[in-house]
Order: sequence, then structure tokens, then C-alpha cells
Amino acid sequence: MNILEQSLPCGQSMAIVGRLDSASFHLLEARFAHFLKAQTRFFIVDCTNINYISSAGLRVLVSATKKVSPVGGAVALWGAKDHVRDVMKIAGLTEILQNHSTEEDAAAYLISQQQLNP
Amino acid sequence: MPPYLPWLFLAFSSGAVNTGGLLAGGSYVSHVTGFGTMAGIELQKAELSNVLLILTVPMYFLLGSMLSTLMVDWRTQRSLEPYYHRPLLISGILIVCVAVGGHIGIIEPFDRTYKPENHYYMLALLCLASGIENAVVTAATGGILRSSHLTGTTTDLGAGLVRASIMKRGSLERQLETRINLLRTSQIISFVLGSGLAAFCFRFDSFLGFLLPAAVTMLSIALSFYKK
Repeated sequence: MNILEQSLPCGQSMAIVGRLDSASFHLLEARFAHFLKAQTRFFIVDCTNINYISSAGLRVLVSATKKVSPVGGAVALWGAKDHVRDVMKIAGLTEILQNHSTEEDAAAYLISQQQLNP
Repeated sequence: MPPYLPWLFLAFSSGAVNTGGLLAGGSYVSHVTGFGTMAGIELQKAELSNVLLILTVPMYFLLGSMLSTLMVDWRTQRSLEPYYHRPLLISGILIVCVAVGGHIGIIEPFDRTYKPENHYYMLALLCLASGIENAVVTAATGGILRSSHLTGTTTDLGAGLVRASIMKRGSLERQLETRINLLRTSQIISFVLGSGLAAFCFRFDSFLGFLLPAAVTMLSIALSFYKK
């Protein structure tokens, strides 16, 4: 798994490429920890190139969401393929993880959250 | 329809296949540990041909898993949606082959006493089918569910129960862990229900009992399409 990072006006972008599973989740966990330490509150996660997500991968996304929520932050996912969304549905996370169809929708969501919690 | 329903049906099917294997051939099917143990016992008896015969049976489970992953991952690696129905269709057909083949006498006779040389083809076909189904369910649910492998599920459930109990009440992580624990419990219940109903179907010592898991596998394919 690779993570391509980019700083965007709406927040920190992370594009995950490959399998987010028990063998690779710690890489994403470490990147979230790094940015959270640097007081980053808003994340936009590009899921278009995730081929597979396991429960370990879901835990990292849930954990990041939980950590930024109390400080007014947010994690917005976008572009997850149907079979990746299906795993999120099976795990009952569709209401917890913010899934958006496009990057623009995800960015708009983060900007609205920033206006609510400046 | 709950998104996990087709995969719980496959756990039910797997339970039925295992009951069929035990009643028709005296051996569990998706139980690689058991085959390893039986091979060890035969090794102690210096029955080397039996050791080799027994050890090749779980290789069909491995082969099924590989075949399934090849068919699913070939598409996901190319950023395409996976087709779970193709490997499942092969699995259903394999189970039907055992039912029909056993009924018309092509494969070994119905016998509850396990003899490695007598039940080879039946167990090989069922292992192949189970390997395919287990790999599909694992891929489709992100490893949350499996169709068989209750030892692993029970281990995960035990760890999950402890994790959920020590997590902060109401936290998102606890919600996720609790949900996954419920799914694992549902998988175990589905497997047991499948075993129970299959025991009823196999009471006349007929291979046609295998039509139950074959039909349930086909039903899960239909449900996975309906879900789409």
C-alpha cells in the first residue's frame, strides 16, 4: 500500500493506493498520528485506488474520525469503489464514516465543517 | 436487505457441507487442522501412502482459495468491481457434482467410517468448493466474516469481546467492535443451523442431501446480485 499526500486548502489529503489490510494499516495509522500531532484537524482521504479494505483498515479510519471529532475536525472519504463501500456497510459504518462520491463533495463537506468549527 | 446476508448464507452452506462430509465420508471438510492431525496419526502407524493421501485433501482447499482469489483479485487489481458470483457458481456446481455423482454411484459409497482411500474424490471436491466459498466471503467482507473456519472466528470473537469491553462506552471504536462481534456470532449460528438442517437432510444416507448446500450457495449468488 502507498499513501500519496498533499496539503489542500480544505485539509490534508491522503490518497491510499492498494490494499488497506492487516499488513498495511499501520502505515496509514502512523501518517494520521503524524498529522494529528501537528494539530491537523481536517483530512480528505482519496479511496479511489483502494482495492481491498479489511476490518483493520476500517479501525484506522474510525479511530482517526474519533480523534478529530472532539476538536471540531473531520475526516471525509471520497471515491470508494462499490465493493469497498460494501465492507463499510457490512461493518455498519456508513453513517460514521463520511463517504462522498467526488473530491469536490468531500472538500465542500470539510469546508462546511471548518466554518462550523473555525 | 442486510448487506451481510449472502455471506451468512454461505456460512450456512459451509455448515451443511461439513455435515455431509462427516455423514457421507466420516470426515470434516473445511478442517485443515483435522487433516493435519489425521496425517500425523497415520504417520505414527507408518502408513505413508495414507499420510500423502490425507495431506493432499486440504491442498484442494488451498487450490479453491487460490482460484477464488485469482478470479476476484484479477478484477480488483485492474480497478474493476469484483465478480463474486463466478467462483461461487463453480463452488455450487462442484457441490451438485458430489450430490449427483454420489447418488448415481460414480463416487465412493455413503459410509460414515472414514477411510482415506475410499472418500478421496468426494472430500477433494468438497474441499475445493469450501476453499472457494471461504475465500469469496473473506474478500467480500474484508475478513470480518468467513464461511467456515470457526476456530479462527471464535478466536477473533474472544479478542473482540475483550476489546469491546475495555473500550470507552459509546465510543466509535466500541460501536465498530460490537457490530463485528455480532456478525461473527451470526456466522457461527448460521454455520450451526446449516449443520443441523443438513443432518436432517442426510438422515436417509443419501448424497442428495448435498443439494441443500448447493441450493443455498445459488441463493447467496442471487442475493448478492439483488444487493447490487
